[in-house]
Amino acid sequence: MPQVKIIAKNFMDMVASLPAIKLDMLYRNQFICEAILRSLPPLAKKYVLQMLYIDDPITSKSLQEWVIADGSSKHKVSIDRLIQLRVFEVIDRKKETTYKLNPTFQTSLRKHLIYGGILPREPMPPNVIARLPTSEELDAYALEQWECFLLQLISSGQAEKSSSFSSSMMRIFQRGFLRQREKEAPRLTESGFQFLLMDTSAQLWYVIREYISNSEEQGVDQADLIAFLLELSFHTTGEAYNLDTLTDYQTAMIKDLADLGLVKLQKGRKESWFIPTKLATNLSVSLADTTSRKQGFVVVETNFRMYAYSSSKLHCEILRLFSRVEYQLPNLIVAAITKESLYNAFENGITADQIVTFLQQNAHPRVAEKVPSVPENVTDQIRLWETDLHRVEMTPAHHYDEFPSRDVFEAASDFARMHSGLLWEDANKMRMVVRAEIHMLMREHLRSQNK
Amino acid sequence: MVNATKGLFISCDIPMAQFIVNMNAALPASQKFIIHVLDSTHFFVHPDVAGMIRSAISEFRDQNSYEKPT
Repeated sequence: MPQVKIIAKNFMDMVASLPAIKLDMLYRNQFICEAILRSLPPLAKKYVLQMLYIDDPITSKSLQEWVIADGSSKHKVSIDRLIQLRVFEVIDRKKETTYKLNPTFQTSLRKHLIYGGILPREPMPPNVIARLPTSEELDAYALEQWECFLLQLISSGQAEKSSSFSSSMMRIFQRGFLRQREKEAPRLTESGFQFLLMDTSAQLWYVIREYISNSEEQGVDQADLIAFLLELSFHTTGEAYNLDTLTDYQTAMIKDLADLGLVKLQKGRKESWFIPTKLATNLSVSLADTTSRKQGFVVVETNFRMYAYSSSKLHCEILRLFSRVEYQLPNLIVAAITKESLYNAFENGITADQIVTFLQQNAHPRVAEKVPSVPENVTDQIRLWETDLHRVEMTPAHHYDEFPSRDVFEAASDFARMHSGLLWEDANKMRMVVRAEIHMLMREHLRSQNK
Repeated sequence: MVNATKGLFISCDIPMAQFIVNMNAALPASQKFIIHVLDSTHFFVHPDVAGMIRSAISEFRDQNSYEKPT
């Protein structure tokens, strides 16, 4: 079955793929430079800081001398990354290559070092704000918005609030996930199912990436959008910032970001403000840093029963994907993993590995300390049921027999093996089976053998 | 001169192989699809029977399943 994987690319990869002019404009913003600096591998950070006040280009040989022999692979990785982000400029002279820091980047970072990072806006004084939500309330709000958005994305009838995303936006998001047939309710595609089973930060990345790639159509410049998002990640979670300090396009974006759960909008008597949530401030953190793990909620028992301590509708939908939900209580979902429910999931394009990873990542803290967090008999059985669906392999092929001599047979079998097309051969009876794609080549080869 | 036959190469485990042989034997002579039995786990069959074999296997699999009524 062809695997369509959704790769949630790192924010930095997206930045790196911008054209050079846009990247230069981005580097005028101090916060972007700092965010990029933070995302670099440690050796690259060291190089940037060392070259910050050096104006002349440095030869690559002298750069190599800064590293001991063991670190040469890390050195190569860092240099490649710096060139990819256009932080390093490469000047090729006849004898050797030299590197220089991108001048825009260099000036912005120097300014940042000297003056410190001052955000274009300050938190509002407490006497104007009626009441700031506590961090738990803020987290709950962000989670609720995000779940509502996801539920609406998969178009189940369970979403209570409809978000303000224009229908064209929703359609762009749904493009990869839903397949609509006439007269039928839209069904989730393979990639849609895989998307649901990814963890929240990966999902957030995918949605933001789609949002940014489609922003051109909305009339907002991609570079501006990335700049604003990176700036947002430097704000303090839980502090209120005045909406008046935003430019026009930023105000348009803030509404969309509020629907995603990245910021919370509140109105006072005279002014309105926005409060960034944890989802926003974690934006510049790379995917590998999943330190903020939300609590798991699933307990899997050896009798193939699952107890999910959650009241979220989204979790119920996800569990319904691959298990049979038996009871739903106010704070508990009881489900059973059965062969039929798994077959259903496999037919929808979910793999056993994804299900097992999902269960392991969302294991309840009580069982998470145990090794393994999901019982082995359950994981083994899930994998066995998956292979049960693929017991028979069929390949279109051609069967060759009646070879005139053993030499011709050997030559033909070597030829087929070279083109990795040999499926089966019997040396005693001089018969072989070769892939259909190679048939033409085999025919030519045998004809040339005959002459 | 070498003889080339076009068809489908099937690779499976021994119980499935027996199942396919049985299915072949149960069909009338005009519909038999196995061209060669290569060994205990491989066959060479007519190219158009892939769908029929798959549906027969899933029927056989479903006969073994019991779904608790909701």
